[in-house]
Amino acid sequence: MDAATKSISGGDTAIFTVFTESGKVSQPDNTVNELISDCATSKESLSKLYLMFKDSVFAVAFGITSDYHLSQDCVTETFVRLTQVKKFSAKKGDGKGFILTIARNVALEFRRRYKKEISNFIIQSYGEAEKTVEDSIYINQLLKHLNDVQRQTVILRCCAELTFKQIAKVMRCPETTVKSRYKKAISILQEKAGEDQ
Amino acid sequence: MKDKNIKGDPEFEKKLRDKMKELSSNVDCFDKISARAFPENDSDFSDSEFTVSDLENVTGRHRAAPILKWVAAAAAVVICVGVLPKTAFVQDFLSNFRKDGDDKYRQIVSEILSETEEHTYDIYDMTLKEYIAYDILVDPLYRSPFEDSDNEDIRVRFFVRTAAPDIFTDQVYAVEYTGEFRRSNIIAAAESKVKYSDKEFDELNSDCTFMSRSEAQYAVDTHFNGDKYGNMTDEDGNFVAAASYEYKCFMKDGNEINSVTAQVLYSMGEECGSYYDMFIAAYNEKTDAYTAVELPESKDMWKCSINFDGTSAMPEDNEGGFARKDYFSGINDAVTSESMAYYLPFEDAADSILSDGHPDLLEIVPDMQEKTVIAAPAAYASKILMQVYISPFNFFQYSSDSNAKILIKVSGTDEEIRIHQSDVIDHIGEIDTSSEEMEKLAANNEKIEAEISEQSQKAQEVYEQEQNRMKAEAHNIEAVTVPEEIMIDPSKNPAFTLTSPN
Repeated sequence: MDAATKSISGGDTAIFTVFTESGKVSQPDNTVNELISDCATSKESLSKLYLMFKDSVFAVAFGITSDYHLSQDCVTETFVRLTQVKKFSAKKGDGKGFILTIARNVALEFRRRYKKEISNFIIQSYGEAEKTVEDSIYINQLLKHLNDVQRQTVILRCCAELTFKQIAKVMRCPETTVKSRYKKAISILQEKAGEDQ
Repeated sequence: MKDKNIKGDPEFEKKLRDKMKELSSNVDCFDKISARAFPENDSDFSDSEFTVSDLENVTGRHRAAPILKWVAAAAAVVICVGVLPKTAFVQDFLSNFRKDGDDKYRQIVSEILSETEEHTYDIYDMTLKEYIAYDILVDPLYRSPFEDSDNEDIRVRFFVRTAAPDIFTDQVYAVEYTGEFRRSNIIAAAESKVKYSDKEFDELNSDCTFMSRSEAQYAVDTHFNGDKYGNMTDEDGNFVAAASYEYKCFMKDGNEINSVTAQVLYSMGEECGSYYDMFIAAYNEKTDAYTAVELPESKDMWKCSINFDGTSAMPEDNEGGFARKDYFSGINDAVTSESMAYYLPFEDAADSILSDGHPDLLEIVPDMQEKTVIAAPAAYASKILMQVYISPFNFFQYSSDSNAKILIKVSGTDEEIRIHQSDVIDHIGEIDTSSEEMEKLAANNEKIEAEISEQSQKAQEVYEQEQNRMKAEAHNIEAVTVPEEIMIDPSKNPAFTLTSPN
């Protein structure tokens, strides 16, 4: 481990030792980051972020909740929370990953809160615009053979177009695990597609 | 950056992307967001019929005159002091209450009950014996604050305050109780030193980065071996099961709050006992540096642990089932083709197996290896990412059975988990590269991709211009002229060239 250590505090409390990782490449998207920093006070910045990430945020939320309305609420809640963020480093942060992390947290929270209500998606969507219901069912059918984490991985990769490294950061798990989940998800989908034909 | 090693399914990916775009195109909630994010401060409600002149009194009820309040309070005191104590019920209640111990104990129990009702906590419930045996799998930061007991009816309920569904904090409580969980059945209670004020908690950023790192993989490579059958052995050659999990939480150090990831590596063996070690790192986004965190003595993490009679419930020595062993010192920082493989037993598990109320005991029965036993962490988020290690060269590689498997029986359920070769994540065939070299390779790949993308864009532009020109000619439009620089001769000026940095 490449670690230069330095004690910050000790005694009764935790001891902190700083170490840096060599060769780490960090290339934040400054435009997005600046918009995030400004969106608490600027409606224009918020609007730009909304246009840029609405689709990805919706996709992440839909991947978790499988429910159109709940996903729509997640989009609202995600951008509202984005305006309330107090700590975000415009220089170092990964803006897109940051927004999608909020979206994922919001969706997990909503799913936990409304778990019973979304258990029967088809009945719940009765009366909605036909196209919306049709699309929702279609996507749920596409992803029905995948478990929760595989669905999230596939959506973050395909719809939000994140790299495996970014997905690992959003889902808080090792990159190797993300890659393995993705490979497995694709093989399941191919296998099931073969069975259907 | 795209990963060339992962083969996707372009057709499926496109179908999913297009359908999702269609679905999200109907979403239009910016006005709602904007109204919530930027509420108008000075809204004028004077035209509304519902204007209330005295905002304190929105129900319209008359307020009681202050003197009436005093009269009511005095009457209540008379009833409490003069009438109620004479009833048998209250006499009995008060005498029991006094027996329950001192103020401190009652204060902690009240705090636990109100605090866990008011805020979001993850709750784990198990017997005292189970808790003491697997305390590091309930919350790795805290060892048991209670002594062991022969009474098998005693249970422990452990409360961890959460900041997000899978992000914990170091504000915890634990209680011992018998029978059904209710206040009168609590016999001991413990509280952590760390507490978060509402203000501090509001400022916690549940979206900050909790890095996932690979120290557990490096440590397992250093301290465990695989025999020729694929069994895992410790440094003394004992058969063991080894696993690791990550625990992401906020930790408070004085006034500073850090987001930390604890990697817990642990092993269980029938002959050698159970061991664990933990590596905790906090990531600072501003400095891009990791901070290794060392915990103080286990007892010092708790503010107090107290029995119902006011005596201390804290054990003299740590009685936990796992002894600490130094796994994380002197480890390498590279994954090689001989690194230990692993599988995630709960990744595809059904919800019925994933109940997160307590640590589960897993009986691992591979087709051609020794049977071993290992416990799983209590928290859902940790359980789903639990990694069980297996020697990289194992029976899957030479078994003639096309359906070779590892069968895992989960205690307390009738269900089983089956692990097949495709579930095992190994590093065989990978080039032995350090993390630094991998970053360089990735950066190089990115350059090549950018170059390809630029070239293809140019080619596309040229192609479109050429198409336009041809269309114009076909329609005999004389006015159309093509700029000289895009009149191309493919033999002299190819539209697409691939270059390599090497």
